[in-house]
Amino acid sequence: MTHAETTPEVGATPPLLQAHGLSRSYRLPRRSLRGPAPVRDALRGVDLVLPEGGALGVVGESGAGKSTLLRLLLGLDRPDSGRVLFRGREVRASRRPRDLVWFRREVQVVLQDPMGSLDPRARVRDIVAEPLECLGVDGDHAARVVEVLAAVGLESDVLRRYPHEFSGGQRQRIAIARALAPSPTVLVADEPVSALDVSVRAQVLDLLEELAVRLGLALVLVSHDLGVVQRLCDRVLVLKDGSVVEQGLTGDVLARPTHPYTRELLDAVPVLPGMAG
Amino acid sequence: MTGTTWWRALLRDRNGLLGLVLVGTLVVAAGVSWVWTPYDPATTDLKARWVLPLRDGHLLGTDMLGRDQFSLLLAGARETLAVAVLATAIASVVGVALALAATLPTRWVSASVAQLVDVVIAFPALLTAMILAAVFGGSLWTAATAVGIASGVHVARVARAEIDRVRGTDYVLAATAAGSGTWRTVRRHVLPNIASTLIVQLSLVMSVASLTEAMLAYLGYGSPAPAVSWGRMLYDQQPYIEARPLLVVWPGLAVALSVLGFNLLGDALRDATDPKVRGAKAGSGAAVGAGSAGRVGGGAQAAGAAGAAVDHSSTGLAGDAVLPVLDIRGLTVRINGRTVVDEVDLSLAPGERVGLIGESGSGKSLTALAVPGLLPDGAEASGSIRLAGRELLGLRERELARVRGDQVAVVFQEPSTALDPLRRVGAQIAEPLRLHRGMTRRQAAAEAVELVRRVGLPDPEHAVRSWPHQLSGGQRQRVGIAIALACRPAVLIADEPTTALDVTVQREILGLLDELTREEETALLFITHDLAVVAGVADRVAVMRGGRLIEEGTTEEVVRAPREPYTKDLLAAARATAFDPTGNAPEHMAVNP
Amino acid sequence: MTVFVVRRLALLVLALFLASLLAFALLRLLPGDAAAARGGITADPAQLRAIRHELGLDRSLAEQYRSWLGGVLHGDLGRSQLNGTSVTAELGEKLRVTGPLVLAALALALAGAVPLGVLAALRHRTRLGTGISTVGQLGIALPTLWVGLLLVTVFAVEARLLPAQGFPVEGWSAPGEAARSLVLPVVTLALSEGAVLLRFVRSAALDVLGRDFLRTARASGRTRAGALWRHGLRNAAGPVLSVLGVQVAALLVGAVVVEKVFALPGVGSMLVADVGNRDMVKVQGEVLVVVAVVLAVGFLVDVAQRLIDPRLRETAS
Repeated sequence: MTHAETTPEVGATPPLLQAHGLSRSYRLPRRSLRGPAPVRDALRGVDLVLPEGGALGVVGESGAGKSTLLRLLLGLDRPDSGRVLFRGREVRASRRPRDLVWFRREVQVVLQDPMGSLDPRARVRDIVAEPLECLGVDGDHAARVVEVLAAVGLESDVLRRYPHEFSGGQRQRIAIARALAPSPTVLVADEPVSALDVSVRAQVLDLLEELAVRLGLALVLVSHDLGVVQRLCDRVLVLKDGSVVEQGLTGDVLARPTHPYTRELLDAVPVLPGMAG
Repeated sequence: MTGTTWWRALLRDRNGLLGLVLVGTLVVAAGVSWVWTPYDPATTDLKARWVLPLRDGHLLGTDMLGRDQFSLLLAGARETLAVAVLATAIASVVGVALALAATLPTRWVSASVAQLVDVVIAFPALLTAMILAAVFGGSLWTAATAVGIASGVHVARVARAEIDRVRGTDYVLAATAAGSGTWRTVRRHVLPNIASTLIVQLSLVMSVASLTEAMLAYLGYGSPAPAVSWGRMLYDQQPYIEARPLLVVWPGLAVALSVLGFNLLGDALRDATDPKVRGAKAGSGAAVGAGSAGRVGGGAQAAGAAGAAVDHSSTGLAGDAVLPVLDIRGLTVRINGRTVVDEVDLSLAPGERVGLIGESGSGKSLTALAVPGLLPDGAEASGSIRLAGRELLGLRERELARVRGDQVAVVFQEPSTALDPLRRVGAQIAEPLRLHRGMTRRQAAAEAVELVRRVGLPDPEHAVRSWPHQLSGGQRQRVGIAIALACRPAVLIADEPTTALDVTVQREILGLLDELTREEETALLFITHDLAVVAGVADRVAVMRGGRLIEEGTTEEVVRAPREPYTKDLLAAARATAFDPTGNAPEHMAVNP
Repeated sequence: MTVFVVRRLALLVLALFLASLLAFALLRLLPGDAAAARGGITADPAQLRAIRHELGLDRSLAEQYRSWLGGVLHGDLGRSQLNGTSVTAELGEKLRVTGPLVLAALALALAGAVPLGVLAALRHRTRLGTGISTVGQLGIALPTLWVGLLLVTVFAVEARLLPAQGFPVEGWSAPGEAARSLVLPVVTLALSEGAVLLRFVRSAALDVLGRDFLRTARASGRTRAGALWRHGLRNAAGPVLSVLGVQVAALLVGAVVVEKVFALPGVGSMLVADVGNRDMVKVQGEVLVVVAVVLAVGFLVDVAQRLIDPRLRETAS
């Protein structure tokens, strides 16, 4: 990893989404009355760049700082230091949702657990229409909902149903439809298939891939699964203990890892016989 | 199922219906008493004292002053209902306002509100009501205000915990990321999701209010004379309890039935307003759950014939001379009449490693858990399970317990929840040793240190003294393995033991399982959804789908040349998403614009 | 843990202070002139002034509160405005009835609710299980005072086994008689309280039964009941303790009613009488004592939770 890769080129059009030196620490509960409360550094100086239409994989194991990075990239939390820029404009988490409407129209999220990320008391129609409503998107919302549901392969007869009536894969399709509704340019996906069965996993990945190509979406894919990253991402960033240990083109990093941790990670992945040769 | 409205669900619920009838009776009685009672409840008639029930037109008889008991009961409903409704209204306003204030982002406001709530909660409603009644004169207002405020702070406490829970959920995170503001999130996501808890709490307020009203009136702090109260009736009749015991029965029964009605109705309303419970009770929506994970994958799976017959010829062991240590024949498991495992045959030779593969809902875990008799409540198993020649199905819990942990042991999926959080690691490892080997506490503790060393935890003497939450996921799973292998069982069942772990940890745990089971020649039944994992562990693989075992063979055969179309699809899907150490990034994505 | 106890203790002191303020303020609402009540109709204005001065009623509210609080800190809850008896001394005497009543009822309620609740959870799919929880559900709905009256009817009036009302004048110097007269009140209070506890024990046990570690214990060779006994009870203790902390208030309220039903000379009867007499200082002291007991039990419950659960021990908040 060279630092030059992540600093913006002067004069050029700013990249779609970029982060500079993101750091975030959390205070831990006190164990003694003396001294300052203990602190955990969740993220230490992370830089990243996502070009227009690019697909960036963020790889790391539990505790690496993936979720913290995700929250910062989505403007849900403020870094202690560092900045997140979208097309050169700073994204600052704010209590007033109006401040970030411009950003949320461009960047949407799909979370890991398709059961937990859909409100059990809301109907599919209202779930998918939520970003349209909140972001004040123009046009016929009902028609748009049917349109994006069709894009993820769901019929309009699901509109009045509740999340618990669907299988895991279908629920993840609903979550993807919600993210697509305001026609974003960036989709941030947090372990989008790790809660799904193998056969469903392939289909959801196919769907994400197809949508990315067809709609020209840029992707940030947070995952512990190298297979998923290998399949969808052109660039990859390896996180360990809150720091980036390696980043570069997916092919390069996975074929010729330079950092020992990346190598360890690659070696640990169980491989199906018949894949290796 | 979408047609099931909440009130229809309520009417279908037997307890809900009873609650509705009881509360309905109370409301009707209160309403009717406004316009009509058989006698004037306030009028005394000394000539008609002590009339027995069903005499002279007095349904329930009269008391020492000749008042008609039935009329008094009807009129008393008014006071109970009024206090209950008023108190609940006050409690909900106070409760929701305080709960919202306690969750405000301004730290000092929320902290002071929480502190105030904790103090006010310590003032019993009855005392406050008595003092208020002494000041302002007893009335339904003093009773309702005291109960309303005291219950309101309770409601606030519960509501606050619920609000915190909902605010931590992924769907609120998703809503925020979708641009939803605080108030919209509260209105659209938080309130609907805490509603069921609030309903139950408010029904409890109604009960408390009814009971407190009766107590206050009994103590002489209720509404004054023309108003009629069941509690007052109890007070009036207590001196004559010897002569007319029946007279104290009616008003008490009235209070009890009202309270019962509020409680039953509250619980039923909670269920009826939850679309998930409602669907399940209606008996329709629930079916989507288990068997349909593959619904989206219908295209890929349609090729596999639904009822693919099992080829029993391959079920036999490779070397026929060896008797199987575990022999499952025709195992069928039913949950609430639904067949979830269907006629499964599977056997393990001593020291053999068999992988049991399937997607969610395939019945693989239930098949394995049936062996040690650890099926969930309500599941029934039939067929035959022989462990070293002994039939396990049909054994009583006590006899099964003697087998579990001794001859057959289990390593579970979630290391974070599989250990008792309130017991030290060493004691949990020592448990099977003390149960099956009759070791003393000291012997078992020493052995636990040894086991901890074998599963590779650093500093074993210290590790046995630690609590589960002080260990990482991988370390906890090592403890789980130590517990399972403590008594050197003949069969080890590993139920997705690495699914919850990081890949680097997964590799270590798989290595450990492999090493330890080889050393002891333990037969291993390894359950997983991950073909790549099982390929590295098992000699033989069995594939399950929809409760049936559809293919079985050596790992090599199944992975290289599967026979069943479903297995082929599964392998294809696994290959499509698996990491390929020789592969490169996908071509179409690799080009930067 | 020390951090927690220190912090929690500080909060308890703050809460007690707030409670004293609330109790003081609540009682200032009482109308009527205590001096007039004490002096009787014959008192002339000068005598009334003297009585007012003696009772401290001519001082500012802040001053009255300060001197009351000062007394409370030294264990002196003031003197009755009606007859000048020491509130502390009278409370101490009445506690000799209320204390045994409440503690025995609590012990009896727990002794019944814990095994029955666990049994109802273990057998929750059988008739026995649903039967126990239905009886509990009914028990919650029964008003304490009615239960008391019914018990009197059955055991005192019909069977004549136990005294219906009252407490021996000699008090505990007649131990047999005193104990006999407490039997029905204790049972009454325990039935009401036990029904509530039963419900919470059952749901806590049911919750624990569904947890993974119980399955681990069974896989190690415990039976279902054995695993629940050995691992489950300790885990279920947390939620049940929380409920117990809240239920103390209900128990004290129950004692007020039960003492009235059985005409026992306890704190509850004293309180009812004093509110009726508008004896401000006494009620104020009694309310403070009741609230302090509830708050102190809350503190003990919080500390106990942490003694049981090592995870809580490591957090200070």
